Amino acid sequence: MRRGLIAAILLLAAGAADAQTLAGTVSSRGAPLAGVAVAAEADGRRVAGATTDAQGRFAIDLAAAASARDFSVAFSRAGFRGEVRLLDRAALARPLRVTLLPASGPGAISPDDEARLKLLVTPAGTGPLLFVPYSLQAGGAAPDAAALNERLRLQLQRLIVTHVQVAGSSDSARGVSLTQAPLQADNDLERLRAVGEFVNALAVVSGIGIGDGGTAAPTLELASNYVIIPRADVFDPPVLSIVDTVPAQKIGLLELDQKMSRLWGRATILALAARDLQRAQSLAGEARRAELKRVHAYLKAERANLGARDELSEARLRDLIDRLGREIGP
Amino acid sequence: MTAVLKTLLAVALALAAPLALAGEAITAFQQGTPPPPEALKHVPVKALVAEFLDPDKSELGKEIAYLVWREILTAISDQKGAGVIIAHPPGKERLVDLLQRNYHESAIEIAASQNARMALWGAIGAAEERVFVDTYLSLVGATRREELALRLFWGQPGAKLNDTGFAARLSRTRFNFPRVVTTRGALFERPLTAQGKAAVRAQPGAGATLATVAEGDSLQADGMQGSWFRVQLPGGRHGWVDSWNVHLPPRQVDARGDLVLRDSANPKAAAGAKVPANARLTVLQSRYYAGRGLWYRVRAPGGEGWVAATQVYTRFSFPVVHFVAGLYRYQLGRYDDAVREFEQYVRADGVESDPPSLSSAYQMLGASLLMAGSARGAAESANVPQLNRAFELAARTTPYDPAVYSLRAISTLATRKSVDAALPDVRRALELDSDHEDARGILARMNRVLATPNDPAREMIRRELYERPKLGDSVTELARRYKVAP
Repeated sequence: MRRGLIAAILLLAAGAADAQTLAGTVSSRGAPLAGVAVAAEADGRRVAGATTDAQGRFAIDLAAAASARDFSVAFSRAGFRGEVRLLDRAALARPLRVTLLPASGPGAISPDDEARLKLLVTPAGTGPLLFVPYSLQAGGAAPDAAALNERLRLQLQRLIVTHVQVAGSSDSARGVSLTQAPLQADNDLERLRAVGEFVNALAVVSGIGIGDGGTAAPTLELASNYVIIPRADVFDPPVLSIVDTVPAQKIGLLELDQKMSRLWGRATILALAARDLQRAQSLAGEARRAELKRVHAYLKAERANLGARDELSEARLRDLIDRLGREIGP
Repeated sequence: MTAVLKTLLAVALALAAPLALAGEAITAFQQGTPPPPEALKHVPVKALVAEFLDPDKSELGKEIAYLVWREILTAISDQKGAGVIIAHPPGKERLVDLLQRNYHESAIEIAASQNARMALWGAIGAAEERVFVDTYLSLVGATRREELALRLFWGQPGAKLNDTGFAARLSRTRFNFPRVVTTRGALFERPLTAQGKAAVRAQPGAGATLATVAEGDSLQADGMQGSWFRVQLPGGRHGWVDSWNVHLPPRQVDARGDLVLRDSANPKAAAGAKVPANARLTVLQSRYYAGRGLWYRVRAPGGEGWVAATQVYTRFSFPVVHFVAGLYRYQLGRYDDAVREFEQYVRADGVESDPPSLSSAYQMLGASLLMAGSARGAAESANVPQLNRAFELAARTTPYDPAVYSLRAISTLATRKSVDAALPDVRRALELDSDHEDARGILARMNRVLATPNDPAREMIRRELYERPKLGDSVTELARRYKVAP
């Protein structure tokens, strides 16, 4: 199984919607993508699956998990990077649009982006978490996007770094900071990845918020992405996405970063593991083993901090811990 | 001749400093300049409170730090050998710039330079009336390894105790506590008690003296600026008093059981209103009396009166105050008081949203109960049902944490004197992490005790050795599976 790992379940209040079917489309580089396997999990077990048709469309019946509040839906196809979406039941009412990245190929970025990002380029294995400002298209209640992005960056940085430091991986966490990239990406995952690879980032964090100002209580649908940049032999780090609908007036508040903090904190542990494992590939003998053991130790510390409701994260983390354990040997 | 089991702290602490109350301030840290001289040099257990980060520019960073500092001071006001330092920068410079960069690492650096064992810091956000407060606690490295360990001793009553070699430790040194959502009113509208003679001034830090208060006088605060509280004066006027000159009682307390209020702060004073268990009481005043301890004057539905602090659960503004107070008590050997503080932490609102800190509080509650029993003579005299429940709740809160199971194995060895009863927890810890140092240590020690006829710790499990001759098989089997040498 190289479908990748996701770090957490996002627990959202269950919506009133009783939708039982999740439908949507999968595309890549602007064209529909056929033959993508779609698998839904709830409460730690697989509940349904489907494959996309020639138009990239899919529909899965979730009646088998009628009581589940949250779903994890994984998309995979050979030659493309897997993606996992975490959805609450309310999200089933909307069609899901998923973009898969080619597993390899040209990661070129535009000359404009190159000029903007030149100063952020770091040597491989030392890059920061890159924060690409959220694009906010709020209908009606337009928040101050620049101010919001700056506070979101600062809050997420603190919440991510303190999370990583509690898991005891301070060596790896040293120097982890959330650096703002001077561009907008509108959740174009291919572009986010290309940008991250160009500057040797640890991961790229970004999102998009689309407002619905037409109602009495305006809301903002926020889709956030966390793209891990380094790749390692031992595991294939996933792209993490969460979709969240928040009241528009709450967009500037701390509830927002609180919601994302644990998920992004755990994702950062995985990103650090991917980077450290990548570095370990260039080592040999005892040095390699020592590095693998260090990663093994902080992944175990991260698991020790999981709560009783984190079974899904635990299963994925355990899989990685076990694989590393076998790699390290007795 | 029965063997008496005793659990002891791995390191005895000097309790020499006869200080009842110890709050002190230090001034700035800046990169490249040496830290100021150590504050509260003679106090064995110190915590440091740093200014809170304030990314929303709510201008509450200093105020909340002072509030937390004074609340901790109130929480430990009856504790000898405990002190708390507020780290504040001079003028307009910001200590927070250092914390902004490296968070827990910076906090530990600041605490270590002051020889403090704990650093408490945080971040604040504000939106209209609401205030959000994130609190963090960083323990300086040595604290965990030397003092937050349970090491099992046994011996005859009155004789020198023997180290059994069985030990386990608390797993965490850094805590990210759940966010507290509150309001300015809930933070600053509170009673204060004057601590010595103090001036009430026209402005914070300056201005004419509007009134003078004496030791024990009550004041009602309704706002704060920097380290100064705005207080109400007769005739609708307001003045400002420095937080250095006041105690901060909790705003509310809950009755631990059915109790009777007294006319004065004395258990023998005339009885007043009756209060049922769990009733919430509003605190009007607090006073510490040598010999009688801390007392609160409270308002209950049936009237006003005095109640001893030991008869109520205090509710501080931030649950972290209870957690820190529990660590102080534990490190200073006041285990019954530590039990009370950790009990108060685990029953605070919202603590379940961060499993690691809640689990650690349950682990510390269990360790404090064991030590309290031990301090009364033997670990067996601990409140065993409460002890078992604390470790059970720790295991339920963070089921994948091997340290919980290692600690519980030590607890089981101490209270039941049974290797067989402790073994499943050792197995569970090793299943989670076959490298877990404490679990491996416990298993190696079990194996050696069972294999060595003259091992001194055999006396501890004498009855079990007699009743279960095949006991060694399951231990050897587990040791072989995890390659633990005897």
